[in-house]
Amino acid sequence: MKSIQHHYRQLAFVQVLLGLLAFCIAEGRPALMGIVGALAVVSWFVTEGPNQRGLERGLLNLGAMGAVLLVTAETLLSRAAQPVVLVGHFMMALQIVLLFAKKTRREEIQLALLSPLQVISASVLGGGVSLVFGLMLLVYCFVTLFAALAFQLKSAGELVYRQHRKAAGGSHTPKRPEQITGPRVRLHFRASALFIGLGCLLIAATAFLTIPRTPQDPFAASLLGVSTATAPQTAGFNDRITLRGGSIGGGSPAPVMNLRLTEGGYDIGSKDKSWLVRGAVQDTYNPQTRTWSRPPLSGAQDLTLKMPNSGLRLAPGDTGSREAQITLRRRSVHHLFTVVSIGGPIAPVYLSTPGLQRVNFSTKDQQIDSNDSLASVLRYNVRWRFERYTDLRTAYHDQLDGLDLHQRYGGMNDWPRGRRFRQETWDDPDPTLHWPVEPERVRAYAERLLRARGLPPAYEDATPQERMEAAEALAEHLRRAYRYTVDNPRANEQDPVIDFLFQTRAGHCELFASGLAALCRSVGIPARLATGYRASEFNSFGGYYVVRQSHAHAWTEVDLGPGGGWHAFDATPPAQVDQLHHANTGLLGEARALYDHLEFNWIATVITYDRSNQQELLGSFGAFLDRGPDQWFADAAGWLSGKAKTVALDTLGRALGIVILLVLLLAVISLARLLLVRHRRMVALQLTALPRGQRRSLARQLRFYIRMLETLERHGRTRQHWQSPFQFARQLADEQPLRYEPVLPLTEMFYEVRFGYRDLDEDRLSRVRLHLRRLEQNLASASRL
Amino acid sequence: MPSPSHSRLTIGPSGGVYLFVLAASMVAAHYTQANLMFLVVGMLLGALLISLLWVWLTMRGIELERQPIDHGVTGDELVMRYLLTNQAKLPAFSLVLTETWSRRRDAETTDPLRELPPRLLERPSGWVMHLGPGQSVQAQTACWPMRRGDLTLSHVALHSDFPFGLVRRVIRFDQPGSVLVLPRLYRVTRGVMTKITRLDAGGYHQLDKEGGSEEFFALRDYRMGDSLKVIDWKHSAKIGKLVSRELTQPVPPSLVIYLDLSEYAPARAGEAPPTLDAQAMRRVDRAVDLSASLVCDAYQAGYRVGLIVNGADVPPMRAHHSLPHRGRLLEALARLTPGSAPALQRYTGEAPSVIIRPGRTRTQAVRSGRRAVVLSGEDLESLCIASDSRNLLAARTSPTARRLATPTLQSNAGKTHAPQPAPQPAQP
Repeated sequence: MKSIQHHYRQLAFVQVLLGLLAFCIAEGRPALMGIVGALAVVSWFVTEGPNQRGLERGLLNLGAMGAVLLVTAETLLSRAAQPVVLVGHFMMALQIVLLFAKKTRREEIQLALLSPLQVISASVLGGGVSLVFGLMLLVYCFVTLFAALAFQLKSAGELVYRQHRKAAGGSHTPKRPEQITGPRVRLHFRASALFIGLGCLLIAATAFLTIPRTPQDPFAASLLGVSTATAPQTAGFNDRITLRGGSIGGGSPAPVMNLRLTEGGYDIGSKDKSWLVRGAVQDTYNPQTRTWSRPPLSGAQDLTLKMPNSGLRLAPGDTGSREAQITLRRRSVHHLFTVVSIGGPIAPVYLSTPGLQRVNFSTKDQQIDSNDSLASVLRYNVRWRFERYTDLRTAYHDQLDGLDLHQRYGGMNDWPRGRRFRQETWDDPDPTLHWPVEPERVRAYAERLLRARGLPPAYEDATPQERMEAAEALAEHLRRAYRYTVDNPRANEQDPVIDFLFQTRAGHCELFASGLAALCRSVGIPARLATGYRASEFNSFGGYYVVRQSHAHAWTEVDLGPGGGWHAFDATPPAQVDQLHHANTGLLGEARALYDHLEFNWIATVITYDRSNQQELLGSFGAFLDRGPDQWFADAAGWLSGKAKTVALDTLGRALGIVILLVLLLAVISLARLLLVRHRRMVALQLTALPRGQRRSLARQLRFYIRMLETLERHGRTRQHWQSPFQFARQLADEQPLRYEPVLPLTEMFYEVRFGYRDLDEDRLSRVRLHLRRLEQNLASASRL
Repeated sequence: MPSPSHSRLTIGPSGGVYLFVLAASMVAAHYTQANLMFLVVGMLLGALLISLLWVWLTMRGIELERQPIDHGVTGDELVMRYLLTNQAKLPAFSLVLTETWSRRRDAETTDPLRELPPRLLERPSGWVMHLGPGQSVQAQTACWPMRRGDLTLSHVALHSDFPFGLVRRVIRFDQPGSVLVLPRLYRVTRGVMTKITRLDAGGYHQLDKEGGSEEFFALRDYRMGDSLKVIDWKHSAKIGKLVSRELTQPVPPSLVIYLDLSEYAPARAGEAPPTLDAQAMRRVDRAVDLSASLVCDAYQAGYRVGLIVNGADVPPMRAHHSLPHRGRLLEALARLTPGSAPALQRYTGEAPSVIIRPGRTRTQAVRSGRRAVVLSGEDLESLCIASDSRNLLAARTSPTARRLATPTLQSNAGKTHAPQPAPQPAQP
């Protein structure tokens, strides 16, 4: 084993580097990751290279002050930065400065403390959602474990040395205690550390799964809610639409949520069917700012509902049979998404999540949000009605109004902003009927379109069926006659919606939705915009939809009138949208789907593990124990036979492709390692100044000398950088002639090859092997007794 | 191989802090219900339990035996060696050995750290980084004794807090024993040795007895077995029978040290000795150190060395040159207790060459007609130079010492300095 000091320094460096990279991953800044990684690598070569330079204590303090100034400047310049990010940057700067320092015990302890704090801050920042981050965290834990154990061994030796100094009374300077080890210490250390690590992991997993979960303390919830509510994460989704000029781009492919749809317990998701994931509603268009928004009055009418353990019935007596299990991986603002079929009604009737204490629900526009921001990940279930027509007054208003809601919802104390729900809410002037920009021109256009389809031009008193036909006809016209593009219309004097309808006839989903809303409103059909996502990427590994930031979408909701309810109409040409949202196919696409699936499982089983999961798990474990060993074997056999039947050729093909990918990855890593090792060997042998061919040949032939040095280093004998190989050999031979006798001939051989231009022929090679073996035997026997 | 007699688990300060952190994390996890906190709690709990399990398993099969040790030297590193064997199935890491003594007052052996002045400043400790299953290693502890005498040993404690340093298991082995700690040894300066050498007649003459190999001593009748070289053919021819020559044997210089501790001894037998304060004890020790240094140096130079102690229960030892004799002298000096015998009223033994007194007061003549060098323990620094005691205690005489013993160098030594007027030997 190398000297424990050196071993620890290597591990500590890897630990710090992993911590820094983890924070960069959590923050989602690859450029910062590159800079930090490069600085860390340079610091290793500076401090651990042949010259072993490093910053002195004074410069170190200056560097720490620089880190303080850096964070202060960041705080002043970027006021919106989260505290955890600022703290993370400060720790990052400190660690980089410390990496460049001459490391005494003090610096080592500082690094050992800062690094886990950095990882914790990365986890708080939301990095734990990613599977890569989770794997990195696992690797980090093991590296930290190894580093901690090495540090403990090193510290024990230093402690004894300190005792010796004290015992010597200052009259002598005692020698450092020799690193006494038995044979196979490296193997034993690694195996022990692995055993300890796995043991810790097992206990941690057991504790994680079985420690009883309770409802969250309201005080802690409010604290955490405040802390994260100030820092919404980017999710590609906006609760306000501004029709600006320029390109909106394709968006980030980062996953936002996973969506599993069931009906009567069966999955209803498929590759061929898309769904609208509804987040926010905008019913007012401001032509001055060209913005769609939700008027403050609507927000003031939200009901604040307490979430019971059994779930919240938004429409009492109706539970719905279609259910969406949504795993929200990046909480943006405070919206809870619901699912809508294209052309279907918007009527969430049931919501269940143990992660939230209260939700705000609007019976008018069916928007759900919550101020409880417990974590960046939330899993909840929502059910909705899917009948052709849904009378919302029946669903929500009639059942809510005039009843003792406190009694109905069990402990719901605070009504919207402290007021009782009012009937007048429904009688407020409806903004969804008013189109403010060139209403006559738009009306004429809409009427012309409807007449061309043989439909009547006015719909103020129409039936739901008539309204639906008219809305569908208008949407169909937009889908057919307009072109989808992610480039915004020209920013000119003309209103963008008017420009879209009459000039450009091309735009993105927001313009299509705005255009349809304008057309509908102009003929007397209430319409509004909804924003969210279009879920079309189906993961066949897991049987769910993956919703990414780039899937952000806008569509139109149309009120079909009494007995009809609000329905979703998507005027955007579906083929072009699906092409834009199209996931990769082929091997890469399969690999990505597999990764997504693994990440989803990671989130579903670890990140969002909660009380309900725990009860379910413990219940199934109890049932498993009750079944007895005979049934266990029968279950296992059944599972295996079932799996054998379901494994198809395409699955094998996918698996084969992934294996090939992994093999290629391993080959690349091995090659990189080989090159790195060869470079290090050349540096250690001081061959870098020689011509390329010569240094490669010498590096290959002089491997035996490196091996000899490593063997000696394992037993605490290190060649100082100021010592020539001969001086080193002489010193060893003088101190312990019997033990280190083989070092002399090996060093002579080194000189013959390195400077005498002799080849390491068979004869020399056999002698080298003999001497190395003798040296190892000598050292092993010396260690043993 | 001895097995442990006592075993216990302890949680040190770091373990206490760790438990506090664990409790705080549990409270935080309970209130926040955050998965990250539950994971942290699990990891902390896992580390604690694994630490407990690991130390319990790995320390079960450790056996230890202290290797016999001859002696140590005051102020020098005293290395004690142990044979450690791991009979368990798991490797043990970070084993720390410590010599311990019972803290009870009625214990047979006293804690050398609690003696006044302390015999040791810190407990002897050593470290073994790794001991694999079924392996044996030789470990060592080191200490620096501050005082001469017997260092009694009682137990060896072996502890390990691997992994994480949270829980420590200490196992104790009863290993009674003792180590004789010799007085502090210095190399006497050359001037002092020269002075001492010139006072002694030995070394200038041949011993008037046969059996040597140097100068002619006498003639005698030829005896069967005599070498042909020793036959004096001329005389044999004259008297008509074989006559052999006998050669003289060189007389090595002798050094008789008179350590005068009479001022710390009771006047008469049966009287209680005066109580020595720390200052007096230090003076006595310095005188003893000087005596021991002279013994070793003289032995290396090939001198015969004798020792007379006045005021302590040490029998007079005649001048003699041998390794066991030197060992006996050093042992006597190491165990010397001032005041353990009454002061001598009359000394009639071998004339001393050196008189050593603890204090600075001038000594009286020991014996009229012979001169002796009077040295004071207080002048230790000026008389001696710091030396590596291992060289002084070497069993073989050094080449320099052998050269000093040759007649040439002896005669040269006689020319270098005139003998200094020395005080008259005291009349005992």
